[in-house]
Amino acid sequence: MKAVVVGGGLAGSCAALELASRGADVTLVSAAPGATALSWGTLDVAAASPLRRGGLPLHDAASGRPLAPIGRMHAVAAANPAHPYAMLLRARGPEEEVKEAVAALDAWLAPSGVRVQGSLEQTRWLADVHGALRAADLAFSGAGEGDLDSADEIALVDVPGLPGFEVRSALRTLAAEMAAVGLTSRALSIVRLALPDSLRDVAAQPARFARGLDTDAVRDALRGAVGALGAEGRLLLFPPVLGLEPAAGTRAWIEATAGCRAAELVGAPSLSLAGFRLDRALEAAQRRGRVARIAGRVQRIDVEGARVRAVQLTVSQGAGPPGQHAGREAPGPPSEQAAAATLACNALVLATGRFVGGGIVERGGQLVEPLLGLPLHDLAGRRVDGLAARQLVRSDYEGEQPLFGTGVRTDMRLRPLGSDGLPHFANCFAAGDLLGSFDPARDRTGFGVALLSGRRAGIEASSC
Amino acid sequence: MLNGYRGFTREFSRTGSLRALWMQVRTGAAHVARRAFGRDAAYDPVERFLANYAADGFRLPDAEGAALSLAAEACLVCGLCSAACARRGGEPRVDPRDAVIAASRMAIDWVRLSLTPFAGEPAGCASATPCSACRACETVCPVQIPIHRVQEWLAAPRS
Amino acid sequence: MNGRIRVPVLVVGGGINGAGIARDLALRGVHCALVERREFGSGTSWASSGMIHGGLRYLQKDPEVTLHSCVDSGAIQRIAPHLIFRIPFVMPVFPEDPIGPELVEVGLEMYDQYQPFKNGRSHTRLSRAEALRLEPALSSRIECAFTLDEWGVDAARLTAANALDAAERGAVVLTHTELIEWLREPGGGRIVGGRMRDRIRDEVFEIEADVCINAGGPWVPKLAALAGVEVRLRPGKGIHLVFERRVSNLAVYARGVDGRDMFTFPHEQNSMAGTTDDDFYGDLDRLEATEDEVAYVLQAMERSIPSIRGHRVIHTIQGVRPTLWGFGKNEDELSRDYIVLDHAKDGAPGLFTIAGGKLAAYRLMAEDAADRLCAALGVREPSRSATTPLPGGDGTLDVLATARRFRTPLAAVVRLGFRHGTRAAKVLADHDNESGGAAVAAPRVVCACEPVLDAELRHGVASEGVRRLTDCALRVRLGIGACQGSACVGNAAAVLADTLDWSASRCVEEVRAFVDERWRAVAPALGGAHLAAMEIHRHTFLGGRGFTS
Repeated sequence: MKAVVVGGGLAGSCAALELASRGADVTLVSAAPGATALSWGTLDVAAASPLRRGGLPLHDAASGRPLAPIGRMHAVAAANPAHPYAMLLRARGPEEEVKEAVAALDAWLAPSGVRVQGSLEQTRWLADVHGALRAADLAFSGAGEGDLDSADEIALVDVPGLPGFEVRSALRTLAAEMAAVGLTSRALSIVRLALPDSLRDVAAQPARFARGLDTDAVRDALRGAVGALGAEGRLLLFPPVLGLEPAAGTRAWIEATAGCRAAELVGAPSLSLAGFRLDRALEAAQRRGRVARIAGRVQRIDVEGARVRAVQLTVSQGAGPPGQHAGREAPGPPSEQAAAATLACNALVLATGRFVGGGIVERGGQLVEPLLGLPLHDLAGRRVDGLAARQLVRSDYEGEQPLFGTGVRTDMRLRPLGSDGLPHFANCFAAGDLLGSFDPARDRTGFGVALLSGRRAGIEASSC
Repeated sequence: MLNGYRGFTREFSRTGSLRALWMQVRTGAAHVARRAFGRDAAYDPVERFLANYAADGFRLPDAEGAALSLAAEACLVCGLCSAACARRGGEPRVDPRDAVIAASRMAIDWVRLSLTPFAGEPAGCASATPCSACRACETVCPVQIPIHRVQEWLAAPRS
Repeated sequence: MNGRIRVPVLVVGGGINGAGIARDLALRGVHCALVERREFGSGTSWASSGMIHGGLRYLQKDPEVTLHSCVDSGAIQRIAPHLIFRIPFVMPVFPEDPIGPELVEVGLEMYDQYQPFKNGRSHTRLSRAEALRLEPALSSRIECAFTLDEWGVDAARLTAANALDAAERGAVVLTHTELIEWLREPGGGRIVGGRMRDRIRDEVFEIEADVCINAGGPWVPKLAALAGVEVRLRPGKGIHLVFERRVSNLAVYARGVDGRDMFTFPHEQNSMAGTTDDDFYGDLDRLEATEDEVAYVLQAMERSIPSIRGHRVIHTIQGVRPTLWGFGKNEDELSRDYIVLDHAKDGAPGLFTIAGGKLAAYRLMAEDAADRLCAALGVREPSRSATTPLPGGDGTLDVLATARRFRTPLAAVVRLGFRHGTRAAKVLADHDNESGGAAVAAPRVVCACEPVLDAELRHGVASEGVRRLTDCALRVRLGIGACQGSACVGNAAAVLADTLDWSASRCVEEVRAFVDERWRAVAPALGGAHLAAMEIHRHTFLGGRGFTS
């Protein structure tokens, strides 16, 4: 059984790995990283935002007891019947399914040095680069070890010259927010990493600094300085630059060298490498899971009646060795020189994302799903393909934005529905941010939907 | 040639003051005389334009630059290119993200100020190596900007 | 500082006119207090096209306006060479245009006579082929084209520079301070100052002055009404679309479907397209571009630059012109001239108003108003504002040397030079001093799109009276580029929090206010390649902790 998965983010990876584990011959086509690679370290299934208007609460309104993440997932589904969770959690034993999915992801990523930290029973508090608290359900290695509740003393690490991290301001914010949620019994301080002169300029470029930490040369140069940061019972919180290669184990090295616990702060667009690492770990997991991966862009999907038959794609010219390059044509439609390929398939999973991933685009002033022209529905379930994006935005930034909840509607088996409300194709499935009627930024369920729907799409597709 | 004066009645009737009227008559007559008796100076208008504006950094438009500029407009300022470049051990003079953001926008300034782009030593880039064109950055760019060509364009000498 | 302030002159309104007046007075040794309700130029001034242009189209009706503008453009170049940049315009002529090329050229030949006043180049006549060679994006339907010369300026920075110069010369300059009511002499009815409210500290205090001037721009009628005086304006709303980067280095004329002239022109890092002109009756404090306005502008631009819709619009800019009242005329035909009114005859002696005008003529307007105020004070000092350089305008910055000396990215220093001129070195030196000299790292980039350095933000607070994060969008162009703040605003807030001693919740409020303003500017033109960026934007500001504190 041949399956093609379009999109290599969390949803696509889960679908592909699930298919492979069930014996399918899977090819994953990825044009470029998307939202997954831009994530900041947490795995939000239904993360609480107790301090935000309209955010999910920490406690159950009726009983006042702390809500477990799994409880919040149900609350999300109850509040918005069109939310993918309403469908995904309807199966028998949804709690078990969620735990299984998390365990599966952890197993897939573990050999790369990335683990899923936290539990679905309890919310933990993490801190971000601005010192603000994030109620995290789960988090990946790096940020995941930064549970504020788990240490007596917390020290923010000042890396001189590193842009994107204002440590004094972060400390002040962290202190205030921890006080606001009752985490007052921890000592908070700033410790300064004494950078040797040779590394001062490197620190100004976070990615380069992170890579340096993966190497022996830089580790040797910093051994003393890192060692000086440690103290008994202390949790060191670093700006998110602890390595580029997940397998290099930089965070673990720091812990070993400092002699105390160390973690990363949750990132922000101004400073974050967690998503890059996650993307690489997923790629490695695909390889290990015997998923054939093609770097390329789908141009057309061949259909026959109600079945998808094949995928037409252009294969990207990947990165060459340094100093060698074939002249590429101008961007836009791929040139004739890019290699074309056809993949026949018995099942197709679309995990192409939303705007960042390019799963939904606006062309000529109209929103469209570019691969199959699938109908799109907004946050409230209204049909919106063909409309202009700006017709679907509202003036209240924090309020509901129909545009940012736009996606494809599916049946219980995650098959996208056509204009008539029936599955367009018998063997086509959708997963991740491409799904409609949920707003991952606002309801903080993005990765949860990706994980569950990716896995479910893979399971469904494997029976084609 | 008369067609070139279309709208004369309309414009004439919109004149708002005697001073404006006098200016129009005077300038108009000189114009007609010059055009009719072919006393226009024999110059290449494009050359003259460029000569007029050379000191401000203007040059003939660069088709490659325009195409790259259009591609670069999609930049999400996400920094994945920087990460991929660093992972490959690249140390280009200009970080790929900075190249995309800043390069084509105010290129006119580099020319006006007689600078090579990023000629000074930006912090963190003590090396003087040009981009090695391995294109690792391009493989991770979510919006497919041809970053190495932006780097090449930046490095190309400019008059 | 708060309490009772006593000055000869109170200037209410920190737009280009108010700031210009305060500066002109300060240069004459007349101390004044300048109060601005929000940030310098945050009303009309920064929303202008940002051009010190000579007003070509007024040649027919109001050649006085053209002359004044051109003369003063020259003056502004001399006093602030770092804030301006030359913009050649291309004016295409289409076969269906009502006015033929010969007439257009006559108009430009008239304009050429004014160009010397502003160090401008004379026009060039281009054939179709020549025009397309110079600007390939032009429509191939054109008959021919002309070039003409104008100057662009960072209007927000120009306004701030005037205000800062006034402050450096002894004026009391206050932002985020609003006038609650005018103070009257007991029994006499003379206006003797104003009761103010500092909106950040929420403190009320009084400023006593011998004379006051209402320079509130479109808010002039509201401020005048507080003194029981009626000043009639015909406020005209205008919007611009801002593209992610320069579409071209030339400005291109375009004609709207109703025949109005508009342009797509380079401005700082971007290109802007605009502008509109519509009678405005709404809330001045919550301006938003409408779908119609956006569509109107794009439709016009498309005629001249067919590929314009393929370019990414990142936000809109909107403002309201304080146009003088005129009945029965189309918005375009209204005079752009200005007036200085003495309200002694309106039952409010001691109060003046300045209204109308254009950005390009601000210095002249300020000089005129200052003359009137000085006459009222009995001060006989001439204006020096045309010849005294604005801060940073007294020379040329050696960009390369400065970048090397302070180990700062060259691109950042170039932009720093645009905003601060010769003072750029001081901005960086101050940072060095504060950070303990060479022992600490060089200034760091906070906003990559512009770029903006943390040193510039700190300098803004320490030496330029920056009080809010939203000020920085105008003052140093923070967060108004491709990312609309998602990659920089959180960090910038942290830098400001450090220097302004903000609490955590204050930090959150500042970010929220910034993001709200940005959204109001982005939403009306959101589409195409900008959707992905705004998806990230929302993840940044909502997917994290959110705003409510």
